[in-house]
Amino acid sequence: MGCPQIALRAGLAALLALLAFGVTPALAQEPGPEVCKACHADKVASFFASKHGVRTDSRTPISNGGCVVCHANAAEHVKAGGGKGAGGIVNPGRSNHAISAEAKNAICLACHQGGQRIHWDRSAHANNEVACTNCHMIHTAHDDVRDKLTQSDVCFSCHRDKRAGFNLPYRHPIKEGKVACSDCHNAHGSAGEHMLVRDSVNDTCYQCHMEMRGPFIRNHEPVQEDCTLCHNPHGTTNPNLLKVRVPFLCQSCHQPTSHHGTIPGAAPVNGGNPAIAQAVIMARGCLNCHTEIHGSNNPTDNSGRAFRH
Amino acid sequence: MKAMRRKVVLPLAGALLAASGVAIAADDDADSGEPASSIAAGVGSVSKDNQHFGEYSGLKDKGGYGLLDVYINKRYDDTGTWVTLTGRNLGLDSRDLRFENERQGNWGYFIDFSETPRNDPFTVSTRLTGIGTNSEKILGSATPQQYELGTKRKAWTLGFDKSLTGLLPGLSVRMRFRDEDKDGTRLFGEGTFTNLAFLVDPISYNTKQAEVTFNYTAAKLQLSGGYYGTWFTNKNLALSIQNNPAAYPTQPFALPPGNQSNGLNLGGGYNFSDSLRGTFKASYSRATQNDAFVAATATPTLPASLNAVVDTTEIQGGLNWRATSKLTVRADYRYYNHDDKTPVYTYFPAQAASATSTNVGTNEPLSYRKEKSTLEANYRLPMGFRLTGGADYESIWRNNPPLVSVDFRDKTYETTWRAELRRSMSDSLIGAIGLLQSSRRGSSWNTQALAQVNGVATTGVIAPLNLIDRDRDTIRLTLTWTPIDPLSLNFRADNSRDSYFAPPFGNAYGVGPQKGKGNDYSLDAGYAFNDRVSGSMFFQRNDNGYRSSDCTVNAAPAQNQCANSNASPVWASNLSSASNTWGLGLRAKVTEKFGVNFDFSDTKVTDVLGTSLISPATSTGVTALPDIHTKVMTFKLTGSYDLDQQSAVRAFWVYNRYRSDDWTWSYWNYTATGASSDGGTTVTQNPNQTVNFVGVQYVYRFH
Repeated sequence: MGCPQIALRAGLAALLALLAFGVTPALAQEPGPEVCKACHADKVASFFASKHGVRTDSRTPISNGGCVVCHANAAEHVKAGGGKGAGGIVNPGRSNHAISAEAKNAICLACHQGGQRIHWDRSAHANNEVACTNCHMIHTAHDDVRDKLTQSDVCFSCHRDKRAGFNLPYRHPIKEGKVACSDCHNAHGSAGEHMLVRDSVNDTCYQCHMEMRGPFIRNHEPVQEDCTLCHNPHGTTNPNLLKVRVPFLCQSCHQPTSHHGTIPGAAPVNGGNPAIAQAVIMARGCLNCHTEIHGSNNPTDNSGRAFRH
Repeated sequence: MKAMRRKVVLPLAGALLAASGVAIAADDDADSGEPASSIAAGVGSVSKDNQHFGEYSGLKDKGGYGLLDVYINKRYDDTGTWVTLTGRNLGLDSRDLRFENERQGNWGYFIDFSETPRNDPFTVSTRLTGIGTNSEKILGSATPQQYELGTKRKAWTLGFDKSLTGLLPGLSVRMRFRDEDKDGTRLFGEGTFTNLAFLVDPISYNTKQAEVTFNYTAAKLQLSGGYYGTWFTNKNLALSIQNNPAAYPTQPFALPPGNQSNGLNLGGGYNFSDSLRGTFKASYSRATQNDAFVAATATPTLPASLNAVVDTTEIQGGLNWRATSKLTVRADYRYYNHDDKTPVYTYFPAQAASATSTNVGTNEPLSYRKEKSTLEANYRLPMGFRLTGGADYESIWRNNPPLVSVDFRDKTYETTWRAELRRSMSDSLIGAIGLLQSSRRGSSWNTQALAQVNGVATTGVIAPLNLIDRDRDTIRLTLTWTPIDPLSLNFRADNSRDSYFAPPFGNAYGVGPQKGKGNDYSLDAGYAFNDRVSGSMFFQRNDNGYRSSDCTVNAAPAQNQCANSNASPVWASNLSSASNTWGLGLRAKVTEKFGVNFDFSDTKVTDVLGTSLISPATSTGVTALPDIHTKVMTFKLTGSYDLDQQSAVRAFWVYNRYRSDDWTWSYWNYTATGASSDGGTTVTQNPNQTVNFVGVQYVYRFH
């Protein structure tokens, strides 16, 4: 047993002795971190290392009472001699299931209700009883969910279907830490659809794919309405993150006149010239000809709505 | 639901493919109470040129790489000022560098630089020249040359935050500005039926975004509002093709035009009482596009640019009411209007005059409006259970073009009913089961589909996937169980079924979308053997399916009937994509100085492109399409040895194996002979790629 542990035990023994004799001068008010440190040295140290432990910021817990700001009933906890749940100590951590997510979140929202969290009550996370501490690490200067490289680990712990998607051949570079879930979604809730950071799916996609916005002299209706009518941004087995492989995707909307209803064929071209049956499914499929599929601003495109140039 | 997240990084973490493979932030030092910093420097080596492993990581070439990661996090306690420098993969094309300076509670600013490569996983063999420029030449070289396409994004982001409590307590301002260049090349092409040529899209984009937001936060009222502007410019507005055979579309190609938007928004929340809260948001933006056309219009009197204008408006309002200690009710309404006000001109008079045209020869502004209402209640039951019931109603209106080329209805509406039983307040067993049932219906179909200008009317055949009547049933199940303290199990299942209902178009076979499905099952386990050793493993199966039918219709006027002939039969497609992934993770502190991390994942994907004959039975026009199989296996072994309190040596080995038999490129070449030939360009991918990435780093930790 090292020196710090001996000192801690001695200190706690002294405290308990005082209590035994009915002397509780240090406990007339809520205990400060120096008392909590006797048993929770690592937590107190990591608290001081975090933004919550900055004394020069008048908003922080350390400036407003210390540990007790988040962990209520600390005085009763110390009086009861410590231990898990002793004295009714409030622990809003993720491993404590004795109190509801709503009760845990009320502690955080007392300070963090503004800005990006205004629409928290509206969010799927709030309505599915996700607590702030399910995602956020509080006793640290580096919170995994706020780091692009490790954020997806946190999200995937619940969103398993999205974990599968990002393991497929065509995907956003989430695994490489170049795109984060929070680039598209506000996990704290938003006024938009699907907790997106912008008001619509398209406005969110345009942050990085603004070349698709147009409008164009020839618009493609599903492109202007909703990118996810054709694309799955979480990953697919089809090139360009399409939900369904071409030509089957196109054939789900377009009338089978002309060549639209062509049955795809898989005979290798083998150095010859492709037939339509191969051209609709091989290489870029329908986009071999309809290359400007998101819309064309070409005034000489007299071929109808073909999006060919 | 409790997130079963451990400090053990799951095998699919981004760290697996990151160059150094480890999230660089140091653990806080529990003894000092100060934020920790670290610098990791070393070298790595990739065993082979590759296409898959290096797609986004910047590690596509065989050879050595410098590895440098920096995380310096310094706090000055007397002023509460933070200085943070974060650098990742500084020796690679996928580098990130960020500097932040903040006086907590007062001001803060940052500057961020990020590079994102995207290396196309193909090798092109082509006689096309001028690749990467806005002037390309078909058959420009005498013999095929090999190229690898790809893009690189370089983005600068500046941010500034300032507390304005001196003006008004609770007031602050937030500014963000982002400038990104995207340059490179991408697969492109041109064609008319069986004349198909390979081209390259020359990408030289710039995107700018600027945002200024004022936030006000008080006990009852919170407001957030400001300005958001975006600008897109393209240095290559047109692509010219030399030696362009006559069969191909006329020159030039129009590439994406520049566009911009400016908008204002205001949102907020108000705590009427401890039990009643309201939220709202209102926003307006105007997007414009007015780049000059890349070619002359049909007549000189037509405008030389589109002068496109789109106004977008959003309004949202909601209430959250804790009616009793057990009952909470939530109501929400959202309105979103996309109004395309682009002036309409007859840019295509030839189409207007044509008897067989599917459009009236004008540009077609597309507008739509979405409205969604939600009502939900949840009630807390004994033993930690909670019951939720809710309903959503969403409607979408779309403007009706004068002539359409697909079947069309101007309104769809979808009602969703939801019910869920959840248990979240238990030490050993938490979970939820939810049921959702959605029905989408709509207004009458536009029976003038495929109508022809000179009044020969006909009806369509296929109801588009996003408009057709649909029923969707979903069941979701999650369970987290801790049978004994060191073991945690999590099971999740999602099952969804879509049924599509063809409208009464009079087609004998009711072709179009039929069915859809989506399933996802996962089992995760974590086990803490002791304070030094912990492990995790998971298995996940994800499969999606889609069934539809199609045909080739008769010539006009009976275009609503399938030909149903041997040459043009009625056929079905039955597509599915199934992936199985399993993974392992292990964290072990072997001795006080030596630790080992191991991560493994294996994914197998099978795409079934099933096609089958419906009618007539004598047709041989439907042939089977081969399945497509993709396999990816990755493991990573990292060992770390502490030289002393502050420094360590870390060695890692990443093994990545990729297999694919995707025949849609390997069976293909572009038109090889004749007047429309481009020389028979091929685009191929190495079907078997195995890469070893090894490296060693020296890590220095400090405060």
